[in-house]
Amino acid sequence: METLVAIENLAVSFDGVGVLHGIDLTVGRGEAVGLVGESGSGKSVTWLAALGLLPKKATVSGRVLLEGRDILGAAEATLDRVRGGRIAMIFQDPASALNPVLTIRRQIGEALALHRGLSGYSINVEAKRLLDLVGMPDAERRLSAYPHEFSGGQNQRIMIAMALAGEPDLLVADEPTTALDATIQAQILELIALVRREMGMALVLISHDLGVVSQTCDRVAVMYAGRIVEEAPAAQLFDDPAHPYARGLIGALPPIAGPRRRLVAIPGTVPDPKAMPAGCAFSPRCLHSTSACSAAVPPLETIGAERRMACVLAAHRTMEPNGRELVNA
Amino acid sequence: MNAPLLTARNIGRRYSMRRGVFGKQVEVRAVDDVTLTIARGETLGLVGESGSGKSTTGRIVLGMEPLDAGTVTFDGKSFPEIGSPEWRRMRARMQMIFQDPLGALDRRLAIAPQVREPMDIHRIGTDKERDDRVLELLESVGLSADHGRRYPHELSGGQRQRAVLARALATKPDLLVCDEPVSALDVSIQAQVVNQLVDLQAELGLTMLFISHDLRVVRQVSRRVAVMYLGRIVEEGDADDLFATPVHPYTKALVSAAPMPGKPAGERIVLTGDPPNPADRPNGCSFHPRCAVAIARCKSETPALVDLGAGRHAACHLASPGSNSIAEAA
Repeated sequence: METLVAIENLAVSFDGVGVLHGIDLTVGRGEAVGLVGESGSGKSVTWLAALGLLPKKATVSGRVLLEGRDILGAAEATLDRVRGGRIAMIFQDPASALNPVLTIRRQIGEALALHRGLSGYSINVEAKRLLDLVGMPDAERRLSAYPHEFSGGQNQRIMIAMALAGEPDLLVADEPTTALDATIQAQILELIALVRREMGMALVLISHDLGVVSQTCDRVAVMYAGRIVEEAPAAQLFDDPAHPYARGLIGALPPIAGPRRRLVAIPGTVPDPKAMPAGCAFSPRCLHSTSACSAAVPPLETIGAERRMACVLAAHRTMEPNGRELVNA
Repeated sequence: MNAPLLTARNIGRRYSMRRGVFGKQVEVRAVDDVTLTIARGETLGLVGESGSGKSTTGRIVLGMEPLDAGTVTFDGKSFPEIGSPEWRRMRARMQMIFQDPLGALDRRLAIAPQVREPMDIHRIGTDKERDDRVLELLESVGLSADHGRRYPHELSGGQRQRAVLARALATKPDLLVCDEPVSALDVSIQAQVVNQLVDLQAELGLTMLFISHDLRVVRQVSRRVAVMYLGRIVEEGDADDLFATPVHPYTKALVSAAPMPGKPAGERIVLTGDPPNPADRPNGCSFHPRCAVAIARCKSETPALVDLGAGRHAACHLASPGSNSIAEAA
């Protein structure tokens, strides 16, 4: 697969406190990549940093290659063409991302004028087509409505329509369904899958919900305390997670059928970025930690086809491809 | 089964709402003709989306919300007038925990005095007994005496919610109402609190009304589940059965929409239409505009909750007793 975006050694710190410690992540053309992790793991910061959307006090280093060209720290004019035109982003709370005093036509129209150079009547036609595409009933009339006249699910549809206005190659969706009810979440996920198929667009889905990510993405990266700790094809990650943290996350999820088992709670809490433990950041909470864990940060190593993990157990893992000895350890 | 601790019969709660400054008064039926019973030591899970009336139902059974219709009896007695001394005494026997532990705790007070406060208010035990009980309570939720000396902002989200739980247990309540107790917590922390609740159920024989939108969490803590849609219970039954073979079309969609790691998304039933607006409730079965199998009768007649056998109840015209499924009208 041809690489669309390659993030290399991306690091971010706020006032000298590191929150992202070297992220390497690639997104292929048309590929759907999931980014899971708990609050504070750096999954949103990764993409905000890549698109130059962090506040000035953030120190960002590394490279973000869009089709081979580094866009990190690029001129505002270049970034303006990239953001929305090549890479679009939608967020958790659509109501606060939309301008409450402008009609939907104005807001979608702005994106169309900026990225596609449309004007006048053609904006109207294209805006209506986009609203139809995202499944908004009665699109013609609703173009004149304001955000408060729509429900949360409809506002998220409008955000998706705006994101599609620039015909981006990549849509970064940051917790797009977290604020929505289950049945509406299903609608929005279905819609994202549909537009991705129709436009051949790549997708990065950022979510804390393992279920949402596994059903939507081809490949998943698990983040913990500002690092990627495991990366695997979606189906493999859930059938056979390798990293102790990924295993903990999946074990913490109550089963919806079959016998009830005691949930595997991960003891302790996420470390404070100001007081990171030495070596592997997960080691104080890890059941398998040894003295080797606090000696150095384990690098993200290849442990199988398309699989990577950052753990001292990675060496054992490559010897025993099914990794069962880790589960029983 | 032993006598029910809590019985709510045909309860209803209406609000009136004005649309805009000069708008007409609109009546919102937040809870409409809901009947539920919880036996001593049992946990009933209450599931539904926003606006389904599940939180209002929880507030009604706690006596925090006046009733417009129906009756609530707690331990065989009907509810005393809100604010009366009898009401206060009864309230000591029922406690609640909500979604946001930081909002439920006083930021300027250490944890231990907050856990002690209900005993001070309800004058339970001597000074020494109260202090001892605080330590016992903290320990029972997996917190140390040292945690008791800290302030809410010095604890993690999961620790805070466990502190709220310790406080709720201070008066040895018979009934605990939990309204989305783990929704604001990260998955790994959520598991800590859920395990804690399951342990306390076993140790103390707690009776709980567990309100959540998360089907997995609800199944983990409850044996019986009721599903609400627009203020009414649409299906009720044994938790395992209900999630394995849902009868009501809404329950079916809800269960299939629960994202399942490793399961392909193809089997998902996607409902069309918008989330329901309680102020603009459709006639007949309020689910009919989004229902794939609705028939003419659904538009005019509200289905009653009927017994389908084996403890299952459903409110759907297409559900017939004993069949445990709906007629395939689609």
